[in-house]
Amino acid sequence: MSVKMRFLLSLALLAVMATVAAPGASAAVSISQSPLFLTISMPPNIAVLLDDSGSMAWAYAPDSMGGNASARVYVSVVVSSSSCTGSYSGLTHSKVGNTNYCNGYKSFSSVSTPDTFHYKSSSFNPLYYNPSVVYTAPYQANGTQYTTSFTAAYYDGFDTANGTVDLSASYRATETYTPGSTTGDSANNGCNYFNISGSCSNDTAQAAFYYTYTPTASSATANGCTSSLTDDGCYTKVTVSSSSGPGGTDERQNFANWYSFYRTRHFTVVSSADIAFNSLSQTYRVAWIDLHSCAAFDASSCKGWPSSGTYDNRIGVFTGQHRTDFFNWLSRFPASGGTNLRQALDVIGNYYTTSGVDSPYAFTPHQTDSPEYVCRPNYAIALTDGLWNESTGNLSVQPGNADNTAVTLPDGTAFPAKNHPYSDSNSNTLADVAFHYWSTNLRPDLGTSPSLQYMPYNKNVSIKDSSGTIANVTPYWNAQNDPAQWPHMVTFTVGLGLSSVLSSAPKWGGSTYAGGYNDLVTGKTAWPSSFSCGDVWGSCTDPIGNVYDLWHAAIDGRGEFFAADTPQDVTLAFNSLVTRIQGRVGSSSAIAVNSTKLDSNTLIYQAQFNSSDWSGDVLAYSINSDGSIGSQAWQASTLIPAASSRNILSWDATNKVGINFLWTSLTTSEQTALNNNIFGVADGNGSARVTYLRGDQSQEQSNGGIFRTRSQILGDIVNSNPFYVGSQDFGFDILPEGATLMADGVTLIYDDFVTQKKTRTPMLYVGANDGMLHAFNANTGVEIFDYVPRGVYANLPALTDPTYTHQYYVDGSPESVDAFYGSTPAWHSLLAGTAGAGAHDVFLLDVTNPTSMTATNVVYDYDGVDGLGSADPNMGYVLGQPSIARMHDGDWYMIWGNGVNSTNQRAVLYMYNINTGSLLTFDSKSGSSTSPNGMFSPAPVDYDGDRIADAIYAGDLLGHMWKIDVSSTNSSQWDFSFKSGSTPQALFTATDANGNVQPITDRPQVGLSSTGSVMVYFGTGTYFQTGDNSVAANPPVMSFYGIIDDATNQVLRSNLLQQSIVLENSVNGTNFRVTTAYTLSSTQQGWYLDLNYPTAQGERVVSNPVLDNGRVIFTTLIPQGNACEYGGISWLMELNGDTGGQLTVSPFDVNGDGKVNTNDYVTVTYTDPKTGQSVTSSVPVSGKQSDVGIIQTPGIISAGELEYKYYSGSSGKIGMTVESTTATGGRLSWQQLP
Amino acid sequence: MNTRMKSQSSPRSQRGVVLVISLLLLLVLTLIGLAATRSTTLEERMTSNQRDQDVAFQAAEAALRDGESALQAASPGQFNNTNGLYDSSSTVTYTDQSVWDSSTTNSIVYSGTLTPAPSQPPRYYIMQSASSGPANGQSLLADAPTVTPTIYLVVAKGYGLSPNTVVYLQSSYQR
Repeated sequence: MSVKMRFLLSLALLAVMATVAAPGASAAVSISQSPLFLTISMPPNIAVLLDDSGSMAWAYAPDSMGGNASARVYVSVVVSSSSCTGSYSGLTHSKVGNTNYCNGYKSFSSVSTPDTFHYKSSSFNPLYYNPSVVYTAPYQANGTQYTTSFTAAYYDGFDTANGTVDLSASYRATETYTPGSTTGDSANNGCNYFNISGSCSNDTAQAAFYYTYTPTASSATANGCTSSLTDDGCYTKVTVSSSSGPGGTDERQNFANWYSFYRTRHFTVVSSADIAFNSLSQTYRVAWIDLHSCAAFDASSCKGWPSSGTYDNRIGVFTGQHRTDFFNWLSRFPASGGTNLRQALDVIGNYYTTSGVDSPYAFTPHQTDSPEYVCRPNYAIALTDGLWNESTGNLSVQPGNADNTAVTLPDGTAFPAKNHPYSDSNSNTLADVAFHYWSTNLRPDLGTSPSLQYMPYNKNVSIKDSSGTIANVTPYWNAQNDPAQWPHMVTFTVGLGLSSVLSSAPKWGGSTYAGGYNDLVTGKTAWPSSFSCGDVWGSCTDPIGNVYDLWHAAIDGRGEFFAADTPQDVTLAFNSLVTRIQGRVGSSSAIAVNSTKLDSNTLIYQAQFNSSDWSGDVLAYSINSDGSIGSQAWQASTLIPAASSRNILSWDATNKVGINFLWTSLTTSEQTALNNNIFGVADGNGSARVTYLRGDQSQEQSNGGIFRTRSQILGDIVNSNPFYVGSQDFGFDILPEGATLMADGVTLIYDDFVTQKKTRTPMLYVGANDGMLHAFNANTGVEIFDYVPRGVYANLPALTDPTYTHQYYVDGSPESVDAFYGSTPAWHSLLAGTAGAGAHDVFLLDVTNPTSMTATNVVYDYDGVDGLGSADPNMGYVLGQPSIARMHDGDWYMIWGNGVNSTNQRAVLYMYNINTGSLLTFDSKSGSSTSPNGMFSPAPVDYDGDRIADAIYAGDLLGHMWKIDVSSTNSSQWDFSFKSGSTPQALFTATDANGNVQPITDRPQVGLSSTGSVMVYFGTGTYFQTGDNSVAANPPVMSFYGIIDDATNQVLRSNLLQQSIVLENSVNGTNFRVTTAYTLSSTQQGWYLDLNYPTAQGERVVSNPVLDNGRVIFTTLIPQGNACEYGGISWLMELNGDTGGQLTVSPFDVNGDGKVNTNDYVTVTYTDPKTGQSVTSSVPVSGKQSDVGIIQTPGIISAGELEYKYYSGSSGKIGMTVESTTATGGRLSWQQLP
Repeated sequence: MNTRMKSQSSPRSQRGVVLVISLLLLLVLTLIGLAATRSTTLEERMTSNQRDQDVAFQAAEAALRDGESALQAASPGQFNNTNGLYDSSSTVTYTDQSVWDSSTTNSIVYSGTLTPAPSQPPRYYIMQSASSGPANGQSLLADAPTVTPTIYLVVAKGYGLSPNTVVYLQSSYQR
């Protein structure tokens, strides 16, 4: 992949980072392609410091390119003789007309670098035009792009009043351009050749041009090229034209964009910052300063280069006027004066210590002070071209040698002197300033918050330096982490054009933690001396340490340093900053357990993702005998086999057979898909992509290849709930085929099959967004096999691209059930999975023998396109969980809801006959392009305990709870239970009190009430669309329902009993809820609970409810919630399944005494919503707030009279609650034996 | 002379009857005394046996409770027919004395202390019992594993002060 594409893509990446979704042109459902709760974490404060020193006006970097230097340049002189001798020796004689010339390349010890050819090549001067880079025009405040043209290119693209140049005729290379200047450049740098003494002697305005460095080309060799970047004989001139670009393309506009927006350091910084901030989340809070014209945070003193016009540069939400001010200021960004960088960083740090309505902590800056959140992170981003050079006296706090002074950090941790890599021997450096504002609690009155921590490296690491010395670094002292829980400032630095300066020890290695970093950690190398010669600029001869100080400041400030040489480097640096700011370890899938009853081998499984590099993990923990979470049993990411030995399967849709995921086994259409790059343009790298996707890392960028660098092979796991497959007994022994020995005398009866299952390897299946479903040995964590669904192929190239923006691949939750089928019928264990929001795809694998999987074990894969000739208009993104059930016609079926964004936008249920391969669809005819719909998880239900499904329930996006009657032995008789003419009618339509539709995206739970009525339990709400993570004013009210299906009547909300949440109460720091306890009358068709306490706040139910001994258990989700929570909060609710009211015993250990009994009742006073009377009573609670952020359906493990529930939170942590159970437990009978 | 002599012999023989009767009475009293003594000894023996039975019973009950509390614990262990934990397929019976052999781990020894200490500490084993059918208040989903609580049989054997005094108790326990 070319640099050009990378740059383009990085812009695309930025565009996607914008959290405000553009309103879609069509009415299709807009599915978020990354975890929703990530984008609503506490909006950070970002203070940007841009260097406006005079050197920013230069068109080259680093500084050493200015002025004179030794070089080999092209000399052309008129001579009188017909030979080149004496001072002309080495040159070639030529005669044109009557004029004698000596031409050729000659070395000089000192020529003006801007006159040389190599100055006009991006190979030497990274700021010069690079034909392989796409120079994107920056954006105005209103979001439209600035423009310029080749024949009238603006000197200053941001201020068109300063004049233009015709690049087709009058171009000269720039050496310096000061913003506001009405001439392109004061110097003439169009030099064509030098005279014999090394001075430019032919300097003309001409058509725009650039040089390419071609040291090995034959023409260059003829020039005596010495393969040196300062040898003009190695350069070839290209005149910009309609066909001079890469591949003969027209690059004139690209050159004009470079000229008007990128040709100097100043333009590069301004344009890169402009593009990066154009797509910055408009929820973030931004402040900005520079070194001179806008050097303090003030309402009206910040200026650009014009003498008039000021901007309020204090912290503000990056939207509206504040955002406009920022872009307007950028467009007039000056370049003059010294580089008082320390002072500016000190101004930012000092700003972060302030309080009040104008402070960075104000709830609504300049309007509302309170609440000031402790968990709001503070960042400083300094972008400079070099060395600070101001007096120490201007600092508000003179930190001295803070980073080498023993101090107790605010959390009590001792920071010792000589603490590598933080300490040095220099005082009052930029690093000392950064360390001061990191190590100081900037707002001690606000307390601390664990969510301020950034700890992606949570294990001790051994760092080995270049001489073999090893330092063991704990997570706290690992500079890649930020362990601070107190309000502090994190410092990022970007140095423009400085990487070549960082060449002595510690040598820069391309990233903050590469190159000489290890030597710094062990102390082998000390930070170089910085400028400390009496604080007078110019008296020092070697201020290189001040460049290193940028790197050092980033380490001390627990941020990152980027040495950027090119505009695209600056853009990528900004991207990394934003990624880091957004990067978090989280978990949004449910906990899986390997046993519903606690025993010594019980493990719980948690899937995680890390949004900083979109890696993922599955972790297994043992459970102690008291139910607490024990030690980590295994970590799947460390147990992925080598690429060559992985067993990865896929699907050939043409022949409808499984295949191995190997290049030579793929079908033509699959190979075509993989041969495309991220833009869909064929690049022939398909085979390499397969190798990469299989886990080979040799072609990653960090190893010199072209593909995205991965920290590990296992990708992020977001919405796919891990599914444990052990020796579950589905009770199929009572089926005819389950009890009777087949005539062959070999086929097992079901009980024997279950017994046999106990000896096979227990497995854990989960879909990951690295393109595969992964199958792990549930005991050891070793990956056994993988499956790449057919539907994800089109998107796989994006995964390999360095500019990958997160999207979903295999994000659906799998499910496994045993089934009896086949030409020689036998018992099998089947696994049904979907690609979720990654693709229109469902698949079915035969996992009877998971350790010996072959391509023949892929039973079915349906992407709604391939092999059909035309696309299936009903197949959408299957977001619900698929199911497998035995039907009355004697066959097993895989059942799924069509999901959202199908062509027809209707809710359709699919049933695939596993035995015959026929596909049935049940079209509800509900939904249209203007009212998009989709069916979610189906629930096959067996009323009579014969293990044969009698009905299927499923909800849809328009609030319908569909019921399909499948009780006939003839599958052609199966149909929706309720119909009006030929139009299917829902069993129930969920609406709020005002008749607004409540979407159903969870899987209904169906069970018997205590009196034997069939009850259907489900909640309403969505949490998969862009925008679902923000709660508008007066959000719609969502509900939880328990409706009675009497097999005859449809159910109306008006016939339901309303229960209410009446109180929330905090006991010992945990919040509990109390609900009403009304009783159901005989005429009522069930109950509902509106989730609007105390008012509607966006609370919803999106995870599957559980019915457990008459209790209905579900979790709710409230986006955002308390701002210092993890993207939102969840409540774990436990209600009486019959009535939806309070339980008769406390479900939780409220008072924390380790027992669950009447002491856990809470005495509350509330207003009864029905009577309006004030009620005081001692009652059991009905809900408990999660302490780990947003949670899914808990994993439940019972142990006699106690029950343990485990849930994985958006914080990445696992929560556990000890509960009572109403199960008839304990001693049932007693006797003395004779 | 002879007559006189004869007439003098009769009273003498009457006095001899008294002695015999006295001796008989003495014998009867002795027998009664002996019987009383024997009865007391028997009752003492009976009481002692009864107490031994009680000790064995209480020991068995203690072991039974021990087993039930093991089931209450989060992880009672693996029911794999070793260490006193048997699955439903096992054919173990309490009358098979090898189960109770204190030199094996076929059963689990009571962990607490008992006063008076029985001749041997009581033991128990736990056996999984077959599952019961679907019930009210439970899920009806056709694609889920059967969700019925498991019943366990806890069988305990207690010993008296004499090793020959044994009591067997059994409870069925749902978890």
